[in-house]
Amino acid sequence: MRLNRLDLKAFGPFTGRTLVFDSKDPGLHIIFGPNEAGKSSALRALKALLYGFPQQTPDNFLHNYDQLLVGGGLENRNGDKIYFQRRKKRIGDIIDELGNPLDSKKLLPFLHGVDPEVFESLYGIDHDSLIRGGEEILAQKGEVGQALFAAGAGITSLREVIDQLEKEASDLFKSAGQLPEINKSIRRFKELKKETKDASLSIREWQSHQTILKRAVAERTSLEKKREDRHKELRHLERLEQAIPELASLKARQEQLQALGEVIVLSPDFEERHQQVGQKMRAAQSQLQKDSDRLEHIRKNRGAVSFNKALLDNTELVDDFHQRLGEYRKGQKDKPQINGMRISLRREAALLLNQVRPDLRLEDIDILRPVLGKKKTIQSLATRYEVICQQLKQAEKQNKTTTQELERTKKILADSAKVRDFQPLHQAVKVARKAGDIDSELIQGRNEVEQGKRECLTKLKRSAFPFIELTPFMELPLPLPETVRKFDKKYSDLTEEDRELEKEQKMSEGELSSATAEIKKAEYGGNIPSEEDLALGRTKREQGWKLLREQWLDGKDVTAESANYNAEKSLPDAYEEDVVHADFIADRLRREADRVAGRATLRAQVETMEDILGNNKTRREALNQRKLSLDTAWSKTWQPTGISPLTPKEMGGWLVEADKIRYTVAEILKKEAIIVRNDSRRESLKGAVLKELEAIGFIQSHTDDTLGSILAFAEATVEKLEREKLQHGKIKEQSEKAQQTFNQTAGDCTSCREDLVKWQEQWEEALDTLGLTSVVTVPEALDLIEILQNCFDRVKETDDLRKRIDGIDRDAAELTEDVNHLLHKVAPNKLKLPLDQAILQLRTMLSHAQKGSALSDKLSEEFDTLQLEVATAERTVQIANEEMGELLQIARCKKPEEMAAVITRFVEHQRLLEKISDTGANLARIGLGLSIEELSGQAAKVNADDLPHRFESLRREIDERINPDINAVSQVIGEQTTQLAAMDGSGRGAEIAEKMEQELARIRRLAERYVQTKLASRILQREIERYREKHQDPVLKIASRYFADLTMNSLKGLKTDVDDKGDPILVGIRSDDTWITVDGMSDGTRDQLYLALRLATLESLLDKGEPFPFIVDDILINFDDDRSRATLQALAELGTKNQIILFTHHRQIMEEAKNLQSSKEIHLHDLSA
Amino acid sequence: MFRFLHTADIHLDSPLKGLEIHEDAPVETIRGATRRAFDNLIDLAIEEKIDFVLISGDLYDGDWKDYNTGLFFAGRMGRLDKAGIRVFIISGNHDAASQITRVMPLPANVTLLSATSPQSVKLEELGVIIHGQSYPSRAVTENLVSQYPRPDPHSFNIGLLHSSLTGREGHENYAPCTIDELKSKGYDYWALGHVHQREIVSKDPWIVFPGNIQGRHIKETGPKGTTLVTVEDGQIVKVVEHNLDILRWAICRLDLSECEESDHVYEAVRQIFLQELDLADGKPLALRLVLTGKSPVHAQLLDRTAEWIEEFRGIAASLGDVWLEKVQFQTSRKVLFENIIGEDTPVAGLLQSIKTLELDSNTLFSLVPELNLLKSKLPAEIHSTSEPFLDTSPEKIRELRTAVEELLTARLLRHGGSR
Repeated sequence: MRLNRLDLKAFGPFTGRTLVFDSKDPGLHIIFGPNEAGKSSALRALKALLYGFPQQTPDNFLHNYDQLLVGGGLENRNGDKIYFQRRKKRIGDIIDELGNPLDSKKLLPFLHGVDPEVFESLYGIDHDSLIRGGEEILAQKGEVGQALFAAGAGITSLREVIDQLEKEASDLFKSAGQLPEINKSIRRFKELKKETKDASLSIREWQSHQTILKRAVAERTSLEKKREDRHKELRHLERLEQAIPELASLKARQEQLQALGEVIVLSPDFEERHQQVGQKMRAAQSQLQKDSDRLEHIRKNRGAVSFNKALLDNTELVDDFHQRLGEYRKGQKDKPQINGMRISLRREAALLLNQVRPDLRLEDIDILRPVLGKKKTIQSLATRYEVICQQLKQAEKQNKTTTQELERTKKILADSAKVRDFQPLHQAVKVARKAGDIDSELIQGRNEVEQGKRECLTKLKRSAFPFIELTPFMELPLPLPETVRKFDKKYSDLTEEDRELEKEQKMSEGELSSATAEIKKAEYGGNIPSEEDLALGRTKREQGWKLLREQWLDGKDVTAESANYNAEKSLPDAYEEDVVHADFIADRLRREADRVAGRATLRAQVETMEDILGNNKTRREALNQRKLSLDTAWSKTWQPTGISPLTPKEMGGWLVEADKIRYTVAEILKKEAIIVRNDSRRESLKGAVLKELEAIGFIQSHTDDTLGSILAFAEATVEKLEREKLQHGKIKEQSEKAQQTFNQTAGDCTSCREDLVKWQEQWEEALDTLGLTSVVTVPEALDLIEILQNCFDRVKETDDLRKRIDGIDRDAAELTEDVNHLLHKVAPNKLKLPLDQAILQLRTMLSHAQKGSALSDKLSEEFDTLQLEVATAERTVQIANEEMGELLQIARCKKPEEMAAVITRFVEHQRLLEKISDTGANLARIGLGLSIEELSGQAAKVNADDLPHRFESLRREIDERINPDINAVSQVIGEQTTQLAAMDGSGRGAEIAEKMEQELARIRRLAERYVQTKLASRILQREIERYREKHQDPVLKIASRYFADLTMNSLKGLKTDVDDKGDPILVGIRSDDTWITVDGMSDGTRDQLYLALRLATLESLLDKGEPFPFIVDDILINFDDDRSRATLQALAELGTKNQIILFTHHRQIMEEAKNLQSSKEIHLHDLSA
Repeated sequence: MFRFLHTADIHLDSPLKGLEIHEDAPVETIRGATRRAFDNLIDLAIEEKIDFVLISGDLYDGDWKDYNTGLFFAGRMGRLDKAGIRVFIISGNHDAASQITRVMPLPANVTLLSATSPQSVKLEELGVIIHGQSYPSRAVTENLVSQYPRPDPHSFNIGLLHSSLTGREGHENYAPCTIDELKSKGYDYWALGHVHQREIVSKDPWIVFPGNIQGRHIKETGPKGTTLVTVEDGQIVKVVEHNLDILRWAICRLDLSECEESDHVYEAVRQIFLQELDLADGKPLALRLVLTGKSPVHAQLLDRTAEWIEEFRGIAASLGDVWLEKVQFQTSRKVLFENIIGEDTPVAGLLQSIKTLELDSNTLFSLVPELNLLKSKLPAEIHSTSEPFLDTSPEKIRELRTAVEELLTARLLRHGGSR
């Protein structure tokens, strides 16, 4: 495939730029674009054409993404061609010349599906990859296989590929490593496996625990039973041990009882009763004797006692006298003192009354008592008086303040001006504001018009036909564009015709001259043989043939004839010569016949050409004529405008420009009209506002005529009036409020005064009873009432004291009479004594009588008690005797002395019975239900002396054998139970198994990857070797040639050698036939070696498939001039077979290429032109 | 009216396979999945007040030896016992291989049917009779059904059988029998086990594979659970599937032919993940992503698979409980390579060599001797029955070939261009 053209329709800096590659051979095409001229863009455009636009591209700075467009023509080896365009779109990016979508499959016979990656690596080389390719050859020490493979695949670093694969593999796994991923994973897996073993529970383990547990439980049961048996035996023996002594003592007691014989059965308390009765008898007799003696003694003492009985009967009266005596004595003492106090109080009362009513005596005081009854009323009236006075004062004060306030506000109200109506003004302002900022619009409009006009004029002045004024320009009767285009067409037709005529003329002239030359050439060609010459030659030949035939077939001797025929040569030689001669003549005749005919043809041709040339001349003259008339018509078209036109193409351009300007001017004129309209509107708005201002008396002289300033003044005025109106309203409100307050305070004053009058009436009425002639003030009245109250209090106290003195006198008289009455009855001898003496005597006498009476009573009481005690003692003695008799009867004794022996035997008998019963009870307890007989039977069977020994052995067996065994078994049971309980069906084992599977998945993935990378590495290495074997010879042969060319024969070529390891390596051959290894080469030479290999591969591929353009991106940057030239030559060489497109931004390369153009087929494309 | 649950192939405590741990993996949400799925079964039985539960074999996993599993099972049976629910089990091929089955003492409510001959258990109060036979050994190749007894005409007859009938893909053909044979037995319901995929084989009579209760690897995709059967007056009136699984397995195939760049791929992957999550009833997902199609990003994908996998895992993690099991890169170039480059370019030659390279286990190991070392170090468990490692089946060799081919092309072209 080759590229025939590249249309940079809209891409990077290009618009409608075309690069044509339609050279005869594929060719070396150099595309030059200095910096910023778009070399790189062109390269990207080429890639975009073939493979579509990448998602991001820097080539959209002039054209948007959706405008980007490249086109191109391709041609394949079969000669098929295609033209298509590419847009930046995801779907449907390929379109044909007319913009219709094109199926991408149509490109397949040209691109053969070569991927962009393959294209770039196989069919592209840039400076970087060249350098890296060179370095790689050095790194591989010129190893042939790798160098060939890398160059063949367009790979710069094959070693890196292999190294990466190997590194990836060794990062994954090493047989002896710890760190590679797979090794780590395997280790983790093993750890988990161990863990899972620990975490899981084997069936055998569980079973063994179960078995051990069961066995242990059974063993414990049997051991416990055995221990119980031993305990039972032990208890049996213990019982017997206890029972044996008891049984012995039982036997002894029963024998003692037997020996006691018959016994009188007594009650158990008999002995005690006997003793008690004896004691009782003795105590009763001694008590009887004592009581009788004492009774006699008291009877004698009682007869000797005497006392005053009458006095004793009046004991209470004497006590009463004694009490009343105290009161009597106090009364006598207080009487004079009280009387003194009474007199003094009375005097004070008289004095007080005098202060109030000097006209009254103390005795008449009661007529004033009603005054006191009104004391409360007077006090409350006094309080009320104060309140009323206070209220009145307050009301008057407030009244005064409000009157002042009222006057003040009224005055202000009177002073303030009348409120003016500013609503119409406000309305006018609003209307004007609504119209917007007309002033600025006007200024801006005018500026724009001015500016527009200026710009148009400038443009006009700058155009081919300068105009000073716009109006004449606007009125120009310009011809229609269509007319201009028609002229243009006519002109170009004429030019085309002219060109064709010229071409025809040139061609005819060329043919004419060549025909003339041919004629001349023919004329120089010499004589032409004739038919006669041919006939002669043929006759001679026939003659020879005849002789030869006679000699050969007929065997005739023709020596003579042959000598005659040709003397110099033998017959066959002579005949052969004649045959050749005849043929020669015939050939010449035929050939010369052509020449003859040719000459005639040439002559005819000359004539025809001459005719054509003549005709051509005539037609050209006619054409010139037509051109002149067209010129006239063209000028005429423009005559009305006064413009002498340029060519129609130029005038077409100017017309477009002029049209644009005219359009602009029309716009400007429209704007001017708007300005006029706005101006008048502004005047009317201004007038309206000014009118309203005047109407309310604001006349303002305006230096500025803008609507804005008037509006500002009007708005300020409106604002001011609004403020005034607000102020006025406020004052009015204050005044009304003051009036209200004044009304209220005046009312308050009046009501207070009324209250005062009312009070006065009440006050006078209250004081009326006091009977005072003169008028008294409120405090005075209160004082008088207080004094009167004191006076009444004194009078009352005087009366009380009088009553007390009367009481004392009455009490003394009553006491004297009562005492005398008693004395008459009990001690008439004491009547003559004073009252207090007599009372004291009576008390002494009474005390004596009371003592005598008390003694007599005590003795009588004692006598009675003793009499009762004597009787009781006698009864007790009798009872005791009876009891004793009864006891004797029970004990079957006749005398009390026999009783002791009977009792002693009975007690002994009782004791024995008790003991026997106790022992029986003990045995029953020990025997736990066994009868005494059974027990004695068992006891008889054992030897008591053996018992301790048997106890010991049984206890030892339990303690030292059975119990430890049980403990041991219990421990086993405990352990097993615990362990079994711990086997809880935990999922830990399963969880670890899950982790193992996760690790295993990882190992599997990594191992698979290991296999892949390892295999890939191996296969690649094998393939490199295989490739080398197959391609070494043909490719190296070509590469050797390129290498020599590129190094300008400083190295003659390439060869293979083997290194120390026996691997084939590349070496260069110097001109003196010595070898140079790659590490001996300069960097530049190695780069050229890589390039030589690349070019050689490309060339070697040419026979085998569809070629593809080789894209070279500025690889010559660092080459010196000679090498650049050599490289260009080499590329041009390859260019004869394969298209090569070299992009560069070095002018040097262009110059170099131009120099080479004479000898090589090189095509230059200058993007900067 | 009575109801029962039919389940099978519980493989208690067998681990989920093929899920590689990575940073964002939802490890916790899938822990002990088979146990939790089994718990779901128990809960369902108790909540729904089921009359009895049938387990048609493979309660345990054959390789699994941790007796804790048996103890766990016994504990759960205890719960059913308390709820008065009886359980009937036949052992399958896996159970026959498991020691746990032989040793585990079962609670009173659990009946393990005999392995020596078919056994029938009659539930008088429900009018049900259950027939079945356990596997006496791991591989039962004879027809067990032929020995099953005649149906009891006065009862509802249920047959328990661990079999893949006439064969089901991926399952060994144990206890073979035909559907017609089952139908001709005259039972009302055949409770089958062994096949892990749900299948209603017939509705007259009902022949049902309930499938397993929890998918354990990528070949067991889709919802997993148990079958609840309602019987009224001796007639089956309702057969309902109940999902029990903790984690859902799914394979997403994603065609990338329209994706021009990485962002498109990410978005497409996100979308397909979301679709799968929608289908998963809100359960965590284990996903295998298979990328297909002739895609413009093919080269980018193959060049750095590890980074792409990381990105996809990130997407999975951002969506919550999604575990990316594996990513299979099965995209292809828009145009086949060999058509392009001619025969004698190195890359074309390389590809040709890979194509024609003989690859079987012998050549593979002689070509890459290091693999012997690797193989000797790898744990034996890597060779699982379902997916042997270094499989030399034609399909796997083809995959390996493609992988190597793509790996090399990507590397060589990356180092070729000026990019």
